[in-house]
Amino acid sequence: MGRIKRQRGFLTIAQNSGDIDYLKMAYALGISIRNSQMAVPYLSVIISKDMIIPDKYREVFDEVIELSWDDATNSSWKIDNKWKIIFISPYEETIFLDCDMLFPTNIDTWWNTLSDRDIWFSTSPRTYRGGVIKNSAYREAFRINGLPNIYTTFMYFKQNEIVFKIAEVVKNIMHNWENLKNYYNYRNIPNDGHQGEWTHFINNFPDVMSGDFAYALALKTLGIDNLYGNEELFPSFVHMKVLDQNLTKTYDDDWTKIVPHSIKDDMSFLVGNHLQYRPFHYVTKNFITDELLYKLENFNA
Amino acid sequence: MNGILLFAHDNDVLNYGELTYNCALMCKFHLKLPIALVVDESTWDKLCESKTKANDLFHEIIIVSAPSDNCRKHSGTIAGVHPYFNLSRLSAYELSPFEKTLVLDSDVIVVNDYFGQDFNINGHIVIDNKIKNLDFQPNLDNINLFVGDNSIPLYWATRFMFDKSAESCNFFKLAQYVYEKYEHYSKIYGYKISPIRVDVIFSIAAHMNQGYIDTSEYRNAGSTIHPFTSSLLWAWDDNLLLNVDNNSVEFHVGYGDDNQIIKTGHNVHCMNKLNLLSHSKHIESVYG
Repeated sequence: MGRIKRQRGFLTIAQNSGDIDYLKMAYALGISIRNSQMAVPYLSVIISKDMIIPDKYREVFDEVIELSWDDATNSSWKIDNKWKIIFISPYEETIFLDCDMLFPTNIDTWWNTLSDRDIWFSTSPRTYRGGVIKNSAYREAFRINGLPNIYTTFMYFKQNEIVFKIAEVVKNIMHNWENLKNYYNYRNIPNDGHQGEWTHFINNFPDVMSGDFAYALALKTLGIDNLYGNEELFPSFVHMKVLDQNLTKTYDDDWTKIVPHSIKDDMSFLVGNHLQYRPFHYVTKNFITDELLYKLENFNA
Repeated sequence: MNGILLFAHDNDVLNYGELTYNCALMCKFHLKLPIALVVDESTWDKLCESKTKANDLFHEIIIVSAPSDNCRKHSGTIAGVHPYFNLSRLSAYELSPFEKTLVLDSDVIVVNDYFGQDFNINGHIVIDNKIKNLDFQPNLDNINLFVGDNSIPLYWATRFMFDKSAESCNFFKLAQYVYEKYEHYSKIYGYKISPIRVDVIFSIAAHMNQGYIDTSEYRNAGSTIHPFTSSLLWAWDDNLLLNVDNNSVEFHVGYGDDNQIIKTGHNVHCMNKLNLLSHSKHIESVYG
């Protein structure tokens, strides 16, 4: 278990990959949290070992936590370390966030409700218009396998035994991803003597590792999906996956090319002329422009 | 005093006066509320010539000029671009003589007294942004849900209600402002600038009034905008009106293997006005 620095805080992972600067996104998130949150304006970031962090970034982060070992060394989409967040968070109560998020408003009041549970995943993300995303185009694997529709994009957890247990199972799933996938596939090889036999209950195990899938599978495996995986309207965040926005025209994966948006100097954030007030998962990796960063840095509440 | 406000402005192809007359007959029968009519002189004169009971039917006649500068494209037997005199509804607040007013489109078929319950809604502006088809299923076409594909919810001015309050007054002032800047807002909200639609104007005004947030899920006592409690079903251009009697309405819907007859005791917005007009004499005989 990591060093506990304070009672409550936000945590994210930022491991740069290719030309995607996740650290810059985490920095923007940190400023956004500092600008909007009164009681808990703290964001810690988990980074790769020996990652270089600019001084101005360090000033924004409550803690910078280097991974002592990196499960994602050979991965382009660095999800593999997501099980570790439970063990290395510096907070008694943590809200884990994907780093490609911004906070338009203060969610101080959420903490007391969240602390009613050991762990609390979002299960009902929203469109930018505020509607609940149901039957997400990206969640077929969850539906066909009866997995809880959880999103680790916004995930609350405490430091206790049940949460550690969940994290251990997630670790095992992530460490054995290829085996889990291939074991099933193996059993589908014609004439191997076991064709048609199920080795586990997962139909079409995803090729690409997914943190959400791993956590959902952990809950199901432990038989606690009914405790921690029910679909509820709280907590929620805006999830800007294009196919889930209830748009007729989806000619680009990048929603910023389809939906008009603006962030004013007072940080009021309009997307499709809808004022955003929930935590905002912008998804598109080039959203944090220098102009936006300048506004965030120079916002004076 | 509560009441109903109807509008009638004939154009070169549709006898809105007659549509409104029939609507008023049905409202009077079922709702037993005073009805005020906003009408231009020409339409009123024509109505008085053809309907001897017109004068007695309405509590008040409000003569206005037919609002100009708007056209709408029609299809079918009246295909073409024709004048569309819908904009006098923006003045409903000033024109209405009632404390609480229900405004209905003249192509609403009223077959029960459910609209009467809506006068109990504790809201300044009552208007819907979700509609249902004749089979009671929600209409989920984006074109009927949103002002533009990526844009704000579409509020339907087919039926709306307001009280004589400062909040309502401000709403109509805001709507008037949006109308004056209609072309400007078309670039922001992504809609066509012609024809000018009161639905779109009210949608933008409602959205701005609610702080640019869709509050459909969680109305509270402080909201200016509320949805209706009673249902109004939508019959589209290709749904064929078969019959209206004093407590139900019957439509043919669908094509081929999907076609069916739907008979309902709910009030219906009949988009096919020519079809509705063809039942005019019958409606008059049932309700006259």
